[in-house]
Amino acid sequence: MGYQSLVTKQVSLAYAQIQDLATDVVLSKKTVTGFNFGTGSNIEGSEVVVTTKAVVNDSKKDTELRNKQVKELMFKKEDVGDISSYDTVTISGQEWSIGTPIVDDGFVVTVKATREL
Amino acid sequence: MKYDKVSDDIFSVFATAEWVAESIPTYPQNHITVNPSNEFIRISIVPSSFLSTLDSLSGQLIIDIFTPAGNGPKRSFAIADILDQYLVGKSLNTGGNGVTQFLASSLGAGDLDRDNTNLYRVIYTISFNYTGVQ
Repeated sequence: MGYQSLVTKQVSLAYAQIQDLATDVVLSKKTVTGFNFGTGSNIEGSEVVVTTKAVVNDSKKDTELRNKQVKELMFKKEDVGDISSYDTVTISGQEWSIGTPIVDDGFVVTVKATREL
Repeated sequence: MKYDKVSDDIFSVFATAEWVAESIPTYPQNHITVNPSNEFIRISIVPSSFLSTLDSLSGQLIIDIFTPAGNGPKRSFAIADILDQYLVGKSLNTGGNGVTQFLASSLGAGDLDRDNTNLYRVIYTISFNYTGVQ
């Protein structure tokens, strides 16, 4: 077994062992392939919905200019694949937008999810 | 409606079959580009208050021309020339009474793109006036 698959398996094991410390989330992945200047809107492909678990590394409210909530979420890479800023994540029925940077080390993907309050 | 109308007029240029046939991937501002190519342009419409009234405005269309870094400026100039053919001196009206008219263009100094130093970025700028009718 190579180190890549070993680490991937260990990440899966870690997500299983932490049980409810990982939150159930629904990731809606949208494919945007270009821009239609005739309609003035994005050219979107089909949406893929992934039900998965995310570890909430950090959560804070920013009230400097307006009320905004930011969560840092960590997904298993093998569950979510590539993530873009067009994707959204639903946590406890609330939809969050995914911002940048999206940090992907090949095993886990860490994103900043934001929601206006 | 003047801002929206100017946007429609300018977007209509890049929606034509002729422009699409140029095979220069084109994106607007505030669009997250999914583009495996290292040659594309990004357009930004910048209205100004100068000469602006309720039904008219002036402004600039700013186009970032991205080409591969390290290959010299020739392709950037070629794309600028192509843009000139579609824009300089043209009057556009996609509906309604207002007309967007382009004036002269200019090309700024190029530099490596800050976000991706494999790209060379040159800024093409062209002024426009929009005149509506009340």
